[in-house]
Amino acid sequence: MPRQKTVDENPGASGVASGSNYLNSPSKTKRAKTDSGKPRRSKNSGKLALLLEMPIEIFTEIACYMTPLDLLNLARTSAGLRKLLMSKSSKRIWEAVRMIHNIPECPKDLSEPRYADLLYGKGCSFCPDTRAKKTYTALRIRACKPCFEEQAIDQHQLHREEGFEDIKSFFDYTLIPWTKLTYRNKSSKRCLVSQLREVLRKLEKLLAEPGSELWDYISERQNLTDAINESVEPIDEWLSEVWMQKAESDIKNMKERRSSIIKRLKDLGYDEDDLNGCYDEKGWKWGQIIDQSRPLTERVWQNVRPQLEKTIQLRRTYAGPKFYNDRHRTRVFEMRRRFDAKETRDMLLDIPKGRLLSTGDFLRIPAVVEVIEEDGCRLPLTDERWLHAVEGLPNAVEIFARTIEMDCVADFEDAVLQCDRDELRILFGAEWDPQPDVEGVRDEIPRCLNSAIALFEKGSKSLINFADILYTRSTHEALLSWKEDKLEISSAIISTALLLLEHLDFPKETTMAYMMACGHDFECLRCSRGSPNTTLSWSELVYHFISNTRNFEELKQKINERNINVPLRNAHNLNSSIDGKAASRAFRRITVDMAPTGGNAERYSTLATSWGQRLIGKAELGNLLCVDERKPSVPWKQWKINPCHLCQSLSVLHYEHTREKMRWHMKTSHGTDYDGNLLPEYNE
Amino acid sequence: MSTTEDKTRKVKLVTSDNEEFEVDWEVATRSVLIKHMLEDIGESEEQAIPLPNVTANVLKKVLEWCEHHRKDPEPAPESSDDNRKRTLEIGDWDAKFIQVDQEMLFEIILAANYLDIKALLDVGCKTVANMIKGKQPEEIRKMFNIVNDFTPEEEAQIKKENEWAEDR
Repeated sequence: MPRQKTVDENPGASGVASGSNYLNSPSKTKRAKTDSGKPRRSKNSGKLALLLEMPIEIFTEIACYMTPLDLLNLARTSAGLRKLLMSKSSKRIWEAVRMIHNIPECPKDLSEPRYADLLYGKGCSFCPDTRAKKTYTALRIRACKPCFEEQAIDQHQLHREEGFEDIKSFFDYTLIPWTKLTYRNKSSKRCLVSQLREVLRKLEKLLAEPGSELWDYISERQNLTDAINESVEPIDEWLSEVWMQKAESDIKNMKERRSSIIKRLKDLGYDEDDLNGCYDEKGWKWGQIIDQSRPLTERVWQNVRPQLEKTIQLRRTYAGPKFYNDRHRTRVFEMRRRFDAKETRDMLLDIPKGRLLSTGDFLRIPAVVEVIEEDGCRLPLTDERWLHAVEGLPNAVEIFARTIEMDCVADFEDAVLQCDRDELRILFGAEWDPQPDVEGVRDEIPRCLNSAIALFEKGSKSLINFADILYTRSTHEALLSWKEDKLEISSAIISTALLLLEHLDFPKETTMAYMMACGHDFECLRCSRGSPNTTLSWSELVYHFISNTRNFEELKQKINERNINVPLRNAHNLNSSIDGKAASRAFRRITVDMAPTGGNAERYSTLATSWGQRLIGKAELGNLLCVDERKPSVPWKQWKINPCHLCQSLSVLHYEHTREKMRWHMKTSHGTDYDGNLLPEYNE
Repeated sequence: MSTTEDKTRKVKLVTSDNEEFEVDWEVATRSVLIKHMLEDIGESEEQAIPLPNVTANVLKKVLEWCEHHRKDPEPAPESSDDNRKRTLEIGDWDAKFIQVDQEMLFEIILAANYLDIKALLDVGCKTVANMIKGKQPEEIRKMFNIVNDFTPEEEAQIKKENEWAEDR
């Protein structure tokens, strides 16, 4: 069998390698040098050297399985391979490659290599820019934007071309290919200026030569343009399909690369937070390394690993607390959801004082905190861990209730001590020694918290007693935890309550139970709040005097600051002897079957029977009680009495229903008669 | 068309280095060359078929492929190689089979070409083509152990020049 001609021996491939001599020539072999000076060969170096010794038919057969781009690259490696592949005798290879990749038929105006370059090439057809550019199939070019603007003109610019006017009667838009563009919903057509000028020159020349082949040329151009236009659609469809396939493949490769990197990092012991880039700062390398379509080979992994580990270290240093907060929030959410579930609520009903526990309080129980914080908040709340968190709940509830009680007693003690009233110290002193280590369920409520003077201010809007505190917490109205709930008791509250008890002729040992039993029977004798339709409960009465005294203080300060000469008195001064009694339980609509110092609700178990219904209501409830006696209210616009002119000068509008009441107001609040003249007895 | 008798027949093959292989008729006839030679010599079982262009170690490898593919349908006779529909896929077994060194790879390709085993030739050619796929000219030069004989100007020029040599 005769020996076949090899690629090396192909006369046309002399530039590739002139036989095996070329390959064996050490002088022509390029080798990279290592640091030690010894030649270093890359992994692929010479890997396919034998291919050039193959018979041409084998080389052709191999080439048929490449892509058009591979053929172009192969033809750019050496003069010999270029001559071989760019020869028309190699057309079979290009056609085979085209068929294997389902590429549409090569248009007649293009050679196979040029067609391959149009479909697979990158870079601008006009400038050295090598980045991927848009392909204009009809114009057979790829172009960057500036080059396209320079090289392609629209139909309007066409008329400005030199020589166009002379041949315009022969010029037809079908003589050259146009590409359609759409910009901001406006479409236009562009042609290549070089093609246009060539056609114009040819037409000029043929026009100048009588008997020339003008019409043949025009016909030939029209046929060519038709052929080009016909080729555009299948090529564009193919390009679009390839683009879609590439996009899909890129996404797939990107996902594979990402999951491969994540798996390798996890195998190295890094956890979810280490791999979470949500708090990454600018400049931290992560996404640009991971989200690539390039496959993750061992070599690539060795290159990217140090960069990824550096970013992980940065995350641990700077984003760690943020991740901890996120985890903590998640764990708290899980715990909160379990606590708010009906089963848990039902369970709490079976625990004495269980209803006192709000979600916020529950989340502060040490056993719950321990479960949340375990392993840096990394462990999700399982059934088992939930049971661990709630197994000591009855005891935790008892401790919590005791905390509420101790906090209230301590606040009360502070306020009483500030009052500087020895009789109060004697009265409650014995109870100020808290016993936090009491074991089991404690039922007694300290006597001081059952006192009529034990009123706590909540958010400067109202006063509530201890029973009310327990009530609001037990009905889950308290969204805040006990520690966050702002309850205060001051010496002013205690002093006011004590003085009011005196004005009402009640002993200082009066219990809150008695005062609550009186309902809304109280009236203020210093202002219109004492009328039958605006009666007050005990806590409202105390708050009424406190808030009016505060208002007086503010107005007084304003008068001093602005140096206004307006007479002003505190009508709600409980120490004033001239104004007489400040309050009374005048109506007595409710019969109270107990002594003021009796009827103690001093046990939690007793008190708990009333949890779930309000023991005291707001002032409006009092209105409902006396609906028969109620006088119709007069809209303020119809009031015949002008507002208090002295209050008006302090930018305060004060109205009274009747002249008599206005006179009372003038006397108690300003120390004047109805007209504003000072009354000597009120201004001593 | 093979008969039942054919399938039980043994065929002797002698390599260029004088090693003799006895294989099933069905395996040997994956090669169109051997098949035609067997048809020429008739039923003379004792007559060994010489394969002067194939060494023993290469034939062993080729026969391994033939053994695995003995039940494959015979390729349809085609009018022209150029018109046949080519595919890019390589089966898993074939991909593993062809993982050999460069020398053996090209020996297999040459043997497949000589023995006229189209399917094996395709596997070899696709494997080599895959090695070149996506490589830049400089990478290909390294693989082929050749130097760049273009000047930088020529290199820039040929990137823009993609016409048939005869048309330039």
